[in-house]
Amino acid sequence: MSTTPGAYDVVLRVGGSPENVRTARLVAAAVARREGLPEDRVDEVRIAVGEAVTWAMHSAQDHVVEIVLGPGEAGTGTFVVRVAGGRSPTSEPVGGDGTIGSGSDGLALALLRGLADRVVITGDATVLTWSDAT
Amino acid sequence: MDLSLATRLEGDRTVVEVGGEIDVYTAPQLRSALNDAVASGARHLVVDMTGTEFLDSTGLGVLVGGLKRVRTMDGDLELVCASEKILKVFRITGLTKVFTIHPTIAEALGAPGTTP
Repeated sequence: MSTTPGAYDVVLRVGGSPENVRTARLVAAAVARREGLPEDRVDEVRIAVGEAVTWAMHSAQDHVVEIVLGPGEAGTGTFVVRVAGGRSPTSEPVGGDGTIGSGSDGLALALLRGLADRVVITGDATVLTWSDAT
Repeated sequence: MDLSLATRLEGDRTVVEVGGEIDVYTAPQLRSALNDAVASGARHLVVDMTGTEFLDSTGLGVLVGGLKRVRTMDGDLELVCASEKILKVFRITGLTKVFTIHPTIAEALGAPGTTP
C-alpha cells in the first residue's frame, strides 16, 4: 500500500486520547470484515491495530495518529493496515524461559508478530498485512 | 464496552472479577483494583476474567505487575479464563508460562497452584 490512499482505502486520523484506540479498533474490524477476512482473523486485526495505535500514540509529536486500512496489491488477497505518526514498539517479547521482558512494549511487539502475517516496522510507521482477504 | 470490577473474599483468596474490555483506556482501573486489594492485605489474588471480552498488552502489563507485586510478599495471582480469544493473547506473548490459568472459578478456588 502506498502512503497515498487508494480508492478502497479507509483513512482514519485520531487524536492522542486512549479512548480513540477503541474507535480505531472498531473501524479496523469493520474494514477487515468488508475485505472478506474470516471472523477469527478480524479479531486478530482488532487486537493488532489497537496495539500499533497505542504505541504510536505514546510518542506522536502532534498527538495525531493516522491509520490507513485497505486491500494490498491487486490480486494478492491481502489486507493491509499502516499506522503512522509516532513510535513503533521495538523491544523483545517475553523470554523462552518465561522471564518477563521489558514491559508492555515487548508484549505489544509479540502480539503484532503473533497476529499479523507480516509486520514491517519503519521508523515512525508500522505496516501490518493479513492474507485471507477476498 | 467499559470495564466492570468487583472484588470479594473467598476464604484466604481475594477474587477480582473483571468484565468488559481491558485495554489502554481501562487498564488503570484494574491496576487500582489490584493495588487496593494488596493494600488491604490480600496476598492470594484470583483475577476472574470469565466476563472479559478483550485484553491488550496494557492489560497484560497490569496483570504481570500485579503478579510481581504479590510474589514479593510470598503471594500469588492466578487467572480464570476460558475464552479462546483471550487465551490466544496469553499464548502469543508467552505468558501462559508465567500465569496459572484456570478454566473456571470453581477450579481456581478448589485446586490451588495447578496448571490446566
